[in-house]
Amino acid sequence: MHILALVRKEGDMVYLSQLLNKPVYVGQREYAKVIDFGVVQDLSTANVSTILIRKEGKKFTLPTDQVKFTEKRFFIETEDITLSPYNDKDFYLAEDLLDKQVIDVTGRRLVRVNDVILKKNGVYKIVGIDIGFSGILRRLGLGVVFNLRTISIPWTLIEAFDYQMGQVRLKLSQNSLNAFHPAEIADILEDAGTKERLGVVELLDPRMAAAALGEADPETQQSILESLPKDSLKKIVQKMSVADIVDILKELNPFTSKEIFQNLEQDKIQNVRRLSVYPDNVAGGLMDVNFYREKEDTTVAETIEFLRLMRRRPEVVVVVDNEDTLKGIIAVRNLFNLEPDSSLKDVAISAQSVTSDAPFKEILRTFSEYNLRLLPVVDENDKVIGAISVDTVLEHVQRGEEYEEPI
Amino acid sequence: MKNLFKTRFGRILPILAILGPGIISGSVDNDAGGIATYSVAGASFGLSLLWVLFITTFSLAVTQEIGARMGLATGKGLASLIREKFGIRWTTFIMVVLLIANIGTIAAEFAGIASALEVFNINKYVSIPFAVLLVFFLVTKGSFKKLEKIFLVASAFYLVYIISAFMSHPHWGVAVESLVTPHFSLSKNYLITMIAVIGTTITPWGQFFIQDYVVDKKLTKEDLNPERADVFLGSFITNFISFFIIVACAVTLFAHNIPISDAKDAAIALQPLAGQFAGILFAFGLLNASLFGAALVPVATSYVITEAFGFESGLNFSFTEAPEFYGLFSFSLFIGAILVIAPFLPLLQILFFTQAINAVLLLPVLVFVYILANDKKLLNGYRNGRIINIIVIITFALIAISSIALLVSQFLPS
Repeated sequence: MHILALVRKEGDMVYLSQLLNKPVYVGQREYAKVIDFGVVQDLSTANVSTILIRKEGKKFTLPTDQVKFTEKRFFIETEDITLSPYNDKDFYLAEDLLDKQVIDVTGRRLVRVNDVILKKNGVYKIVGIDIGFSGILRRLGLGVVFNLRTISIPWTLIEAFDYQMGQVRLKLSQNSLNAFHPAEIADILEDAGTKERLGVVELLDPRMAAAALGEADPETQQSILESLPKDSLKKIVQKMSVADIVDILKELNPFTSKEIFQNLEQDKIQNVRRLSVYPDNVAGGLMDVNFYREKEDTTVAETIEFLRLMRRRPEVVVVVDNEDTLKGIIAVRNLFNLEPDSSLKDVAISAQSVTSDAPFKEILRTFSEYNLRLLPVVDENDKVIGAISVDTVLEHVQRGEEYEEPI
Repeated sequence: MKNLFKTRFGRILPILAILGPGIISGSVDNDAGGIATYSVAGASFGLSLLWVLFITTFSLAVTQEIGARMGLATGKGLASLIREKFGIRWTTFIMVVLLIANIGTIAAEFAGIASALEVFNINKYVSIPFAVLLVFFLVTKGSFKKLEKIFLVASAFYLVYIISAFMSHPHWGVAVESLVTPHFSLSKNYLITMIAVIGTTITPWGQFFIQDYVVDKKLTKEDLNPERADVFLGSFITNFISFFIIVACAVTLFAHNIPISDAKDAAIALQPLAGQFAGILFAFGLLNASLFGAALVPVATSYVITEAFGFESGLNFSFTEAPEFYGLFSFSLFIGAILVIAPFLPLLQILFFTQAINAVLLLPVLVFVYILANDKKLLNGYRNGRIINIIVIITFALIAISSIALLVSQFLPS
């Protein structure tokens, strides 16, 4: 890849695996063994600042400027060597990066680090990681036998974890993970280890964490929510949709469920309680109670104005009267072609609806027959109590395929 | 199914929600190699190897518990943990060990299939190619989860050994006494049978399997105690059945000096129950266990090795998306089958000796498991306790000492 071409041109490229476990000499005498390289300051500079050595069975660190590397040998030239004790809180390349999983920010997945690519330009600087099979062969001493292409990722495009704690070691002040799609984060959460999973969640913006958890499989949701510290749990749960909370509560142990209830606002609790009584496969269990409804007397212009203020703009407006009785629906994209002064009751089209006990088959049929984006759910008096979106329907179809296998 | 368990029964009895890993792993232990080894042990040495079975029950329970606990605490498979802690060289070493052990196990599964079908006069040159194709398409085209359930239902077959053992009226007092009476002999056959009994009970692949299974199910630390119950129960059931296989064979074969040379002989153990249908019953049970093992072990091998080296892995991917995964699966499947087709290896010997090889190859795996399970940085409060460590060390010593004794016995006059 391009970064390799770059460093090759400047010479001086070296792999971490070629430097580890090499002796370091003072004059002709072997003084210690180099066992790791630390990046103590900001990870974004990527400068190696300390060298970890093992001397008589103990670990010490040395500043890099005291050690010279020439002709495949490390030398210490200074007279007064400043040894510092090893601090495992710092970031070390072999300890925290080599052979570990990192987040590939471009590919949006977890990859395993087969080697670390360094460049020497006065100081050692991390250029990237090697994730190709060639890296494995090189470390096994078979690199000469099979000369494969190196697959590498630049250092700026990965996020590494702290091996012991599992926290993400962010390099940039801006959190790259919040730019992912929630479903991509969900995939990473499903694949990562227990500590790493929590590290990712705690780093996310609560809104993003809530969305990602909503996309993850039930086992992953359960595993994360039951292990989160109380304050993170609180922040995330407050951003979750009622429908997601209802789903998740079915998976959780009573203690975590109670914790979640304590952190919800009163009206959300009511909604959760109301929805919890429905099984997963009927309209009541699939509907969301947060949908956009508007009174029939509102004008098109007013509605467009309201929509402008919304952060997440809905696709469909459900039109109701003062008693919440369903009067029709209108697609948001059609609003802009309409006379601004007309009221919604004159422009809404008549809507299909189902009652809360409608089975999934009926819902699916209604969606596909009428090409719907949103299906209102009504009670026996035709009052709107919720709405099912096409996304929910697709998700349910997919889950059904995963779980409902015949024995 | 899974949802139903989780929502309805899961809340009443947490153990039901995660029922599976330990019991499945335990049941799979009684595969083709298991049935063959226990049959030979009972037929050749009567009850005198029961004490080994007694010890390995604890060994199995403890090693499975370690695997489950490490998976639960870290969310990572054993291969990942070895890679992250010991680096690529040791990982490669242990993967080579695992590959050899697993190909041996796969060969044993195919030998089981061939033996079972020989009862119906189908020779191995016909049955093995057919079985390879069947397994290949079941795994790559069909759903693996379906297989698992079918197998679990069919493994109720083992109950026939319990009934048959009772109907043959053994001296139960002597049998139970044999469980706790160590008996050591320097005879070559005794030693190798002893190693095979250990090797068929605790296997390298079973160690990786249990941990991956727990990781896949995303069990959390709160599931630890139900999961412990699951693996303990699984280990107990496995060896409970093994006990009856050995007893049934001791009474029907050892007592009448009938050595086992093929499946028809081993089936005699079921005669007290099934009479003239013993051969058919035995063949059915062996075929079921072997087919499942022949499908499961190549997939498990492929999962673990791709996990260790960071390749795409899983049956959700296509051949082009995960070539290494399918390559390893096919490779281990075909090599295992070819070993069985090879004319110079008798089926029973494959079934039996692969188990002994598994035991020896378990030694390095145990070392890594031991170090990891005592790693404070990694597991903190979920490290091994003292009793668990002692049982692991005893298991290691038992295999190591009997292997060395076997080696020494080669040079002694018989």
